[in-house]
Amino acid sequence: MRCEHEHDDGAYVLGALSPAERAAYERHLGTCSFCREAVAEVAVLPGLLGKLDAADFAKLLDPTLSEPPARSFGGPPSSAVPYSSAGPYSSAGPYSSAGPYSSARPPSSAVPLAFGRSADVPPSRRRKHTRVRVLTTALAAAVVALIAGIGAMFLLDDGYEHPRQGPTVAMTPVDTAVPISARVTLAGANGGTKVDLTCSYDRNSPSRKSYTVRLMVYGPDDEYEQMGSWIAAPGKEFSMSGVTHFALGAVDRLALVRNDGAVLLSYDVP
Amino acid sequence: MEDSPNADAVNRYVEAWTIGEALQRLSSAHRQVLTECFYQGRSVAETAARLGIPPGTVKARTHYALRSLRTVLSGMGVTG
Repeated sequence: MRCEHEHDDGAYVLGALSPAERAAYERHLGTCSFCREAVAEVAVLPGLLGKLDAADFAKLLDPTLSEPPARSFGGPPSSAVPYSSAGPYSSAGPYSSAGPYSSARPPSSAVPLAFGRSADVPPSRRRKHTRVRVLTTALAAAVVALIAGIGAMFLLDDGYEHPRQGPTVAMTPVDTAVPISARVTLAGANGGTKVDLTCSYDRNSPSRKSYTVRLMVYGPDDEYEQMGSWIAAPGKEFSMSGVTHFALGAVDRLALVRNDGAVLLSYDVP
Repeated sequence: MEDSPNADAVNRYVEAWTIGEALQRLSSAHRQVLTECFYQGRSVAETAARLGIPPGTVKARTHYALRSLRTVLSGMGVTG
């Protein structure tokens, strides 16, 4: 034995030392790097064990604490258990490496806070309130959650307004001299109408001027809104997608408007 | 569904299952001291009395049980 406290690390991180033993061990940790490393090696494990709610799991696992637990839990037979009670490190040397947590978690300060047992609260009471879930409950909850999730997906899908995509149509030039052309596709969207637009500025046009254009959408009762604006430049193509709150059947007209207010292209929705 | 409550529940279940599976791969002696000292919240002395073994043996078993658990979890891809 390299240190008289060599085996205290497990009980310490599990919170099973008596208050007096714990205080003594913590004093010892201040002077023994060997034990500090040992604590650091296992300090993360109580947090992982805590992922399993286990007052009831323990009963399930080992109802009498005298029978082989694996039997009642339907686990592997004891012959399949890979490790002897002596532990895998008994001959290999447990402290050859510092372990992954030694630097991240200074044991003398962090561990007692995280895993220490408070002296005035009986351990069984302290644990009980956090260990109400059982494995079977967790399983049931997970299954319910899965079913609910899948159900929600279907519900969501059913509630979704499936896109009713119309044909892609060319917007009509107001004037034959307009060097810009655009094609639009309207589709019903969740909450309105999705508009896809591709706009081209004819590269062979004699006009070499760039200008700002806006896509306007007109709905019922003279309502309208702007769906986008961009700079149309000779030889360039521009694409955009947007959604207007007007429902597909309520979109009356689309218009491509130059920044001086001149309408270049329009599309009257049939 | 990534950050939905359902995903949380599934994650919790997977974590719980993983720990349960790891515990099952321990020897019964190791599982027993972890059950007593951690899940039942018993002290070394209480566990020793219940199991009829010396307190030093309880400490040694918890020491080795946690190292076995670490190895098993590591083998299951749990890095902590």
